[in-house]
Amino acid sequence: MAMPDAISFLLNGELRRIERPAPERTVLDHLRLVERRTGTKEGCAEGDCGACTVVLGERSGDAVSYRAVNSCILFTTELDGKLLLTVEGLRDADGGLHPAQRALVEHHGSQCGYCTPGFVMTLFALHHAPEMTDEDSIHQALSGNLCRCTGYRPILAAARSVAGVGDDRFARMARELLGRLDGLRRAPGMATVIDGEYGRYDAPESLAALDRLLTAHPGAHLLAGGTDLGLLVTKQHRALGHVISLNRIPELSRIEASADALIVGAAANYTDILPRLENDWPSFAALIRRLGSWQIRNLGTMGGNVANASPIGDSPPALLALGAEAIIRSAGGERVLPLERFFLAYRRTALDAGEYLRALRIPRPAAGDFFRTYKVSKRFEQDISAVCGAFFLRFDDAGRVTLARIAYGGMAATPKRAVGAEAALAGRRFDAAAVDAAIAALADDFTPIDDFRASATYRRHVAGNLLRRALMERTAPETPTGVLAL
Amino acid sequence: MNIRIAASEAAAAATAPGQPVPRREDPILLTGRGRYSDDVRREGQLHAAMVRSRHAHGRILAIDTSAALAVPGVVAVLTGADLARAGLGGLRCQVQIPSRDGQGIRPTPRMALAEDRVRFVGDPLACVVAETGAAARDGTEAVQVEIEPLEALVRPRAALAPGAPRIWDEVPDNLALDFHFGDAARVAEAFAAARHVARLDLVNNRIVVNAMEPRAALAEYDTAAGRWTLHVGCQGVFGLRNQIARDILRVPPERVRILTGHVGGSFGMKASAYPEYVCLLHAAREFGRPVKWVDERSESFLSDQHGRDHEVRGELALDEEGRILALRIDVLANMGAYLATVGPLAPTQNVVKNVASLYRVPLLEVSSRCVLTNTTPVSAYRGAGRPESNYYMERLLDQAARETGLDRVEIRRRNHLRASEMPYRAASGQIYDSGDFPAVFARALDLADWQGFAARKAESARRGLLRGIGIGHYLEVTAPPTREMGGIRFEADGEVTIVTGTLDYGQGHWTPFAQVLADRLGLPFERIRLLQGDSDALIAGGGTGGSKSMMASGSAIVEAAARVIEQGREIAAHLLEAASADIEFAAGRFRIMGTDRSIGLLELAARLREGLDLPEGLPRTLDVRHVFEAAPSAFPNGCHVAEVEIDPETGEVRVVRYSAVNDFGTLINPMLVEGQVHGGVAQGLGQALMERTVHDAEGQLLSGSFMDYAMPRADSLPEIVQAHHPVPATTNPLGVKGCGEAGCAGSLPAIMNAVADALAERGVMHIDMPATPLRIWEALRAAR
Repeated sequence: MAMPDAISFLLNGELRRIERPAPERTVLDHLRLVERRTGTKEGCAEGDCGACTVVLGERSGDAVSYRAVNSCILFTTELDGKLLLTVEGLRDADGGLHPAQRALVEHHGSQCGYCTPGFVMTLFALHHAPEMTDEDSIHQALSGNLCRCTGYRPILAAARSVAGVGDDRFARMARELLGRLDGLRRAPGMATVIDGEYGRYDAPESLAALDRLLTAHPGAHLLAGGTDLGLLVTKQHRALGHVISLNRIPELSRIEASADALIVGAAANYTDILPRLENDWPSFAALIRRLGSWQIRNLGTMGGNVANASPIGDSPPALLALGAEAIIRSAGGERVLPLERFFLAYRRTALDAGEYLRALRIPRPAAGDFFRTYKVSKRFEQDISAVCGAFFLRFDDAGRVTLARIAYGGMAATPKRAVGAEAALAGRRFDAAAVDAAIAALADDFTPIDDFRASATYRRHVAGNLLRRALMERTAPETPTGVLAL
Repeated sequence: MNIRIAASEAAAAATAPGQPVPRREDPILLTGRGRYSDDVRREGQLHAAMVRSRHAHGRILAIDTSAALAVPGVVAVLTGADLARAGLGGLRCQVQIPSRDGQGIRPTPRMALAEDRVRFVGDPLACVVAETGAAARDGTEAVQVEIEPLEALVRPRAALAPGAPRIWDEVPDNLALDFHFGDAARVAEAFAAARHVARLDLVNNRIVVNAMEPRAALAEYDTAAGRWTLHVGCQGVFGLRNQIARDILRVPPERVRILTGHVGGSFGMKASAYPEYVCLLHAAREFGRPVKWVDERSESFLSDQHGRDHEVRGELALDEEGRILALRIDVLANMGAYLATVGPLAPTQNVVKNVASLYRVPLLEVSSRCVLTNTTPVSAYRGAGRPESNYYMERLLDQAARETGLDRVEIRRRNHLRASEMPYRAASGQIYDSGDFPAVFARALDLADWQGFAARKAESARRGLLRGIGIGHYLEVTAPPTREMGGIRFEADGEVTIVTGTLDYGQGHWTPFAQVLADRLGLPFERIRLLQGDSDALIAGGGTGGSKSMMASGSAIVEAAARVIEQGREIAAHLLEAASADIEFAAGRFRIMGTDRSIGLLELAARLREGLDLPEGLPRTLDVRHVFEAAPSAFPNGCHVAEVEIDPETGEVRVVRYSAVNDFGTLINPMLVEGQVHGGVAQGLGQALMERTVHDAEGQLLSGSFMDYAMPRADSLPEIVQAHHPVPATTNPLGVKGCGEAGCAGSLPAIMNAVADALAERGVMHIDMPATPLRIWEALRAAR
């Protein structure tokens, strides 16, 4: 039984127990420096290149789910109770290559070999993703791995040959793995607390425990996916002092649907959120499939994206346009804040000391609601928005706009509603004239900046064009407007 | 017996030259057993971290290391003064190129750590050596540096402007090299007499190389032997050893050993000696412990030599038939703050050699100004002047076709050199030995279904998209294969080792080299190993670069194999009791002609190891340490055809069709060759459409991470359809031509000509690389 100041996990099937792990120790550093397993590579230390990709296995119902993640920004503390697979651990007992490895040999998918372990692990996770066999899914799976040598096409061919196959020794030993993972479970009340020379780490198991901790330590960093917090360590070399993990509190990872809203726990990751959004807001789901990469979506959380309050976060414009609310909690109770009142200034939120984002409440669509969100960036995936726009419209029986919520990212210091443009649409038919008026009003709503991602002129123009695109999709749905087939 | 022979013959056929044999190193790399520089660790090793300038240009007033020395775990903080006291030399540009005034290149004597001036953001100022990597990094933050900022010059034009501050006191006007080739007067006459002159200003955008493996190194010093060992990723251990010994440590080369394991990509960038290595070598001797340094990606963006960065004016003089009379190229090349190892080569001599391509160009003039700026030094990047030169020519031809109304295909046909003209002496002085350019061209147009383009364009138009098609016809002049070792060692375990000085950083040399040796000596392919990264094992080594490895090492292996046979024949003759003239060698066996008395090569090697009583005058071993002297450059050529679709509303471009016909001469391993083309096309596509290196006016790099610098990803690349039209080279024994850089040479012009073609219908007269959505969108708006 693990003590509260130790974590246990399976490394390629072997039990590992780390006593008092340094809270900021990344999995990549642990593998390379402590385990001396150097197969996993560092290419950027910020989750952009995928050379460090490893796979996390955990129980998902009666099966083991395998997810590719970036080990460079994942802290070892978060391995507790999981199976960690690395490129060294895939071969059969007789040394035979795993199907993902074999496919890369056959298709000449490796040249210098440095990105290769990351691709192997991504392909391994793809091998175990039965629903991801179509071309789009394969591209999504590969979106987080950079290669400078091969030109990718041989890797794509390898990926196609293994996607969703799910037939390897891991599949055959699933029952045994589940048993061993269950054996790592903690007894209730054994929440991890590490208080050592490098700082403090807590992994509370209930909201009440989190409330108490935050009251006592309002300055602690809250860790959910860590895709941003990890960068403070790997890029800014900062000591975090005190980290509180949100990943052991079931309520925070939960996604609940009521008749009128989706309640997304602040620590729910994008991969888990995606299928829940697919039906209600397919345009939002499409945006999230472009957010970060497969690895990033497997860790990153919508709650973190909101609480970070970056002006170029991808989910806030959509959430603002949908009328989402922040459910804020502290030891003193809960309050609910419309999201536009949550973002105060550049990276500043309405959270007071001791408060945290517990969940996001996303309204579900009423009949006839129209919603679109679009992102314009240098690349399709894994890129920062130049402009991100989101448009929600509700109409009366005569086709007049009764409610318009328009929001943009990349146009101001916070994600922000376009109140002038909304007013210009209100009460009118959604047609070219109304859109022209709304676009004119955007000039007063925003004063975007010039930077190397886009000029202010481009941003302004694209912001308007995205509204035009929404109009086109509303009025001429047969006109192609999206990105061409990959 | 017969079955066994049949099986071994089948195995030999499967690995024979020309077969797509899977790579020997793949099972190692795919299971995480690769050994890259950062995977090397030594007991007791220290860690180094660099303090880098945050100013693009400035005078160093003070470097205070006291607080850093107080950081727990910090052992020392090295500055330029320490290295100077130790008598270490600097990092010299390794090429010599004549200048217009005959003076040659004006040197920029770079010391590993800046002494009085910093000249770019990222310029190393100090090196912190500590017990751990974290302590070293903490130490860097505690080093107090006082710098008086000076005006930063980011673009070459600004650096050449009258009154601009000097970046180097020794280099007036910041002009490190004023290069000229050709007969200016005759070229001017030709232009004056021309019926038409096509003129284009083109930007060859700066590239951050971004090998996936960041640079890393570990230095050790053996006090007793007075020898250094440097573990580092590079492109050739022999040359790097000589440079480090001669220029930096100032010791005989035997006192330095370079060891290179796997290299995670280089593309020209890791070929150089870098300041960090100097610090490590010094610290290893000073502190008597191994010292290791690993770059972080954020530092790589600043500290790795960049590529490209030329502004070019190209002019093409044509007669009334569209035939080329003369070609004039004027290059303004950004060298960065220091002349890098081969920095001035790409914009000067490599333009001369490559720009006329496979066309009949009677007169050629190239003027290049290599200008210093306050930016990261620029050196070789995949092709190093070759792809860019082909790019200039192909853009000019399309421009000329548009302006004269000649068809793009026709203008190329009229100017093609013919197979019957080979060997052909080009205006550059290069002698093209072989090639059938019209045939390659015709096959490429067929493969691309050039005829069907109009229908595809109409179909795109129905979807609201602009469609363009572009030709990237190219000829590259490879680096000439120079002195290269062909070593063959018969090992005690029955394996055979090839020892050579080329060094692969992803190309997969082991497999094709083994294919060649297995074929020549009739050896089992899987018994052959490759030793390529240990300078102690070499007696020569030109290294890898300029698409020459197969020519250099391949030729060396062929010649060395012949020597093995000669030596073996003598010994076999003795053992078989025959005259050596009666011994034939075939399928790995020495045989008395016309008899069944024979001995296998490996058997002979085993007998030699066991000890044979050989008479005087016979070779004692089958082992060979041979040096292949040299061969001329080869001329790989081909034609790539790209099709793009552009969304006029957003400026988004997608390459939707891509085909390539290449003449790489004889193919040893077509799978690896096609992999090289794939990778080259991807890098060309990145440069053409995505990769933009942006500095602000103060010289700060704005596009300094993978989030800000757009590297191609899996969804950026089209399917690439390839065909080969091999015309064997006549200048090396294998007939190979080199394929490493050709993908770039074909793709830059093919993709950009396609973009320009698509935009032309909207009245856009010009578009530069990278053709990002923003740039295309702006061009479309400006043309409205």
